[in-house]
Amino acid sequence: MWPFRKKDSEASRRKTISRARKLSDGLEKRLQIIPPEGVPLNIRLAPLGQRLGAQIVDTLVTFIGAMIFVVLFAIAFSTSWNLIAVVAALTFFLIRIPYYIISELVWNGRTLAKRWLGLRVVSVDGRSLSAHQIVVRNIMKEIEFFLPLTYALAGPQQHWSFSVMAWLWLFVLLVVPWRNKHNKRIGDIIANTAVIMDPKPVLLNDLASTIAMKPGLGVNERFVFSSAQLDEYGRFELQVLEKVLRSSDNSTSGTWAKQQQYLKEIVERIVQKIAYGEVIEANNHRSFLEAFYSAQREHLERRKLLGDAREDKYFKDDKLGEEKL
Amino acid sequence: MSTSFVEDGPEIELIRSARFRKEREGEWKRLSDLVLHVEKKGLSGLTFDESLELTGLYRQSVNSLSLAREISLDQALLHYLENLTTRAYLAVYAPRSTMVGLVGRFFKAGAPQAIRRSWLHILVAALLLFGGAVAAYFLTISDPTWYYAFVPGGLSGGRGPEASEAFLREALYGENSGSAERLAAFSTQLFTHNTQVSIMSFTLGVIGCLPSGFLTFYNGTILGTFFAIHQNKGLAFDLFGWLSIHGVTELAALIIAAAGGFRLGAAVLFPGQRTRGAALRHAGRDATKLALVAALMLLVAGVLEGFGRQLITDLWSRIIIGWSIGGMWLAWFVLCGHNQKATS
Repeated sequence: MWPFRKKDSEASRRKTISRARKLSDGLEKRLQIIPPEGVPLNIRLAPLGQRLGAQIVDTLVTFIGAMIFVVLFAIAFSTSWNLIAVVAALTFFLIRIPYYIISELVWNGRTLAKRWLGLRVVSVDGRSLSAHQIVVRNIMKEIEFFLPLTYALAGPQQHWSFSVMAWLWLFVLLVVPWRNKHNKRIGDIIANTAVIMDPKPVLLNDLASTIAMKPGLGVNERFVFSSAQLDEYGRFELQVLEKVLRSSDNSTSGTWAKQQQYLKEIVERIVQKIAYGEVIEANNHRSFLEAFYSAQREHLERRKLLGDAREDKYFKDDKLGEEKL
Repeated sequence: MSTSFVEDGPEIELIRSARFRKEREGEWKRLSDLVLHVEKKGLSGLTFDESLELTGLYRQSVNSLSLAREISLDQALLHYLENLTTRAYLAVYAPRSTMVGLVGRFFKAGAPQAIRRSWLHILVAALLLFGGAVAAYFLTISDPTWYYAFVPGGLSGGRGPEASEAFLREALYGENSGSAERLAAFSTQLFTHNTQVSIMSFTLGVIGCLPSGFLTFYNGTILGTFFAIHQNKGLAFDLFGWLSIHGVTELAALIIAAAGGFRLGAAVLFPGQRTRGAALRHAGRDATKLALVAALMLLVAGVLEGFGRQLITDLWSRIIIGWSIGGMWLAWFVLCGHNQKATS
């Protein structure tokens, strides 16, 4: 009667898993760069909020720098207000582009604010950032952002259509990086650059080694899994389990009870799914999960080496689908 | 698949990916330290041996990453290697050129070569500007009310067709403070006006040349109509001197900025064998240099205008200074960077 129902539920299940996977693998947009060595690097792109923040801080920096210069000039030469006004206008106009260009050249794609916030400009083509790229993206910033902004805020001495056009232009300007796959603004598109989060390499301990090196009777000997029991899950579930173990590792005492409850639920799910013929006591929940993690990881890594990479727990369906095709 | 792994203690069974990590961890940490060092002190802060070590360790970490993707499912390790390799990549492939070297190369070769490559576009821009000037000159000579059609209200400083000869003469040569102040204001106004026109004619060039062409022509008409107003009062040659001191540089800057826009527009209209995006990026290399030259010239013009024109009021010195500076620009464009290898 409802011939499509089965297919529908299949599709919705797929959707759920892909959404869950996205949540786990990170919501951030990423940029793939292929360096000359040929191994692609996936780098986290800077969120737009951070970039706006950096822009505001940089604007403040240049503004304060220009203010200091003008005040010093006024003190040193103490000339007429008119001349000081002219000097101030020139300084504010001239400090902008050179500041961005020089700081990004000297600090390898980082202005002062980008340094503080951990952002960095990189060349998308996988080569080093060239002077040309830096110049282009910063000249375009002037045209994209500062010039229309002065028109937009210029007030009544100009025709109203200028203000409207300027606001419209600024709006388009905001939409471009927002809709862009790599958060590029127009200057980035022309210069072929992108702004990334400076990656912070933090080496966490290896869970499998830590578990294996625990003193006393090893958990790996206490809980043993058969090959069939390890054929249920894939990479995605394994890495979710890794996250759970790492976070319950350093949980504070306040959330301890909650963590225990959480672990208990996971243990029950796994025991049911793999048909583990033993009831796990509450004080053994973590040990059981650790042992399962070690065994599952070793098993999946071996399967992968043999050309049988398992993405998630639906890998059997995927295989069937492939065979049908 | 587990094998024993001995490390100053009891024999412990480790899985393959954990052993992989244990064998290489020391190298990664060393690389991490070197990269931090480079980021603080720059590549020049390394000794020769250290920089050799950096590049060697970087390549090894690239290898580790591609290997780890195959054999390890430890997400923490994969993240770490990815981040470490990226960080090292950014340190190893940092821009090498120094500020001084870059600026020197720009002045000695880059800029004049880009100007020479764009000679046709510069010629077209110049023809448009002077074409506009000539047309507006003859229109305003025959009917002075054309002036109001060409000149925007704020730009003239009260020097319309209704102004008397004395007023115009005072504006050109005036030394009393009231006029000087007015002139200073007018100078900055004109300076920012021409800067804006330059920026706009450069950027609008992307939309197929026409808007830049129109802007350049229109700016020419302002020039022409000014000449006509002064011609009617017999002051054309004096205006020529007044404009010469900075105008030679400033109008040349305008022409070069428009030519940069034309290069971009031409790349969009006639991309040739390339895709439009690639053609635009290619033309962008020269166009950016033209824009920088134009910005530099506008800056010089602004200085000349702000100081030179008020200080030097003699007609012939104005003309001589203005045109000799123009000659120096021309010499730079024509003579420099012939024996350097082309930078594009």
